[in-house]
Amino acid sequence: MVLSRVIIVILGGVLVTLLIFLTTQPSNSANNVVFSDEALLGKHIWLNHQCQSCHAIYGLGGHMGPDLTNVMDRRGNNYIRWIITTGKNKMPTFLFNPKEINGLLAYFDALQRSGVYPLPGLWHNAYGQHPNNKSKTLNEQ
Amino acid sequence: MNSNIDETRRAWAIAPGLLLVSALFGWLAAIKLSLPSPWLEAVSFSILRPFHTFLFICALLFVQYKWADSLLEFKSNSLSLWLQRFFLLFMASAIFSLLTGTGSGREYFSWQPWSTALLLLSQGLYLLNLIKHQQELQKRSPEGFWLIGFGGFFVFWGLLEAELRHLPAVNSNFILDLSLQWHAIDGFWAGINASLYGYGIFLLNSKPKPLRRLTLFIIATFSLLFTFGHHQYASPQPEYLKNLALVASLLALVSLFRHIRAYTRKNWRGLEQPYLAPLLQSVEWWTLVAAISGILFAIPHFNILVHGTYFVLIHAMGSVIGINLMLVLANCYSVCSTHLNVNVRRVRDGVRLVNIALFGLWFALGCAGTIKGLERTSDNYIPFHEIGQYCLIALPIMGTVLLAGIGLLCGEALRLAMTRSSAVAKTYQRGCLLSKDFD
Repeated sequence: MVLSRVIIVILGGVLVTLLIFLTTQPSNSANNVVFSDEALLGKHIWLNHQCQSCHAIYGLGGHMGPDLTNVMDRRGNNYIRWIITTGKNKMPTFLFNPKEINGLLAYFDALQRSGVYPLPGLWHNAYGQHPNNKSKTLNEQ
Repeated sequence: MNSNIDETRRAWAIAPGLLLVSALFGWLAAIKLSLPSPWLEAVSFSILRPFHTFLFICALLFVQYKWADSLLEFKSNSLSLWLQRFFLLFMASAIFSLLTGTGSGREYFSWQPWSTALLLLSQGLYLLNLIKHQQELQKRSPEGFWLIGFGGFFVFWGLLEAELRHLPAVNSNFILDLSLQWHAIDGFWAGINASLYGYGIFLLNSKPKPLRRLTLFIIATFSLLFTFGHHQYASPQPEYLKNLALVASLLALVSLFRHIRAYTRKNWRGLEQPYLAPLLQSVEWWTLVAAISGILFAIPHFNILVHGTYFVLIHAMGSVIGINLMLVLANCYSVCSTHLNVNVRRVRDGVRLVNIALFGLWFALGCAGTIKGLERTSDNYIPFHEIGQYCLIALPIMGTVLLAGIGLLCGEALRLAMTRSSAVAKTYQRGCLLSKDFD
């Protein structure tokens, strides 16, 4: 009897959580990014070349290289283009065509618009910071 | 009879073998991460790292299946045979995609979707087998059965959830994709941990543990389903998920207090099998460390400091090595030691080396994590800080100690698994003859 209740709790909990996820994530707002086709190509390249082994996004990924959530803001287009094509230290050279590089840049640009990571300070906005307005938290529009 | 025992033992050799190779890959990755290593130039980090985690996951899942086979008597069952076939196919296809650099590019689930499909099939058959034998298993230990059932289900669910990324709505929505990734990873690992703890209960052969109260199940399920949100406080996931994650993570305090009380009251010397004492003591200790650090990491302002740093890496390493690896080996020794003696001294030395290495790594990676965490909150943050990099030199040093410890432990498991019963019988007969001569 108890076991069947346990099963109901687990299965019910899982299904409710999934429903919550799928229905409550804002699909298009200032800080929740819906990828363009170009950015999707960039995401595809990111995954196909196992970039997550060395780099992280919002802290998810490897520690060999820096976190790339805000690399666009930190380094800019030209630097990213240069480092991809020439490599540096432990970063290998990638022979991408211009379309693929533009895709990656669009991907990083989309990530840049999603928020700030890592957060610049220990005591403010622990729940994220708006990328364009430092006085606002992420969920304030 | 003896050939059956030999067959069972030999099949178990796969688990310590996989763990050993995984440890070797981890050690190479540690060298590549922290030292200039031109001799490792040919081996890409994008192959080393996913391969290391893949092998470890395979060992953990394999033990789940083998333990069910060996002790819960599923051996002649056709479901069990098919699940093993699917699992081997999964391994072969995943190894192919990882070695050819055509993996999924995701954390932990680094293989292609068709490999996940094969793994889902084997995990599904394993769950069916558990349901088929539920009465027998519940009689032996209701608590143990609940844990392995719960664990098996969450492993299945985690794998399924990880592949939802192929839905166009998820693929193009960055935050939904990130949330689902974290949720899948959390569920999958919680499932593996629950399974291993469940088998640990069967391993101890103690009195059947009764099922706990429904309230505890509700708390456990809620915590498991919502803690994932604390991994991405800084991301634009909905704020209520962040609040729920904080509550769910702090609920772990309930189990922490229970665990501390149980830990201080345990009598390790009273165990029937003396080789289990060092392994299980280590499991309990690292569970405490993982629980305390996990709760701390979930506090939002502390999370800003540690998230995405080496702190989290050692939290994960401490858990999978100090808890999962020890439980896998405890299961392995228990099954393979029929008619054989486990070298308790070797086990104790191995556990000691592993614990020393984990303490060293906690210290070094904790320092590196704190430096990185503090550095990056300043305005002129540079991703690579020199002092932080110096701390990483401990990685290959402590990694070598860790490899030695894991080598000793897995070596002993392999020795037991590969010993033939006929050889044991011959040694026994020779021993008897010698003792007669002596008389």
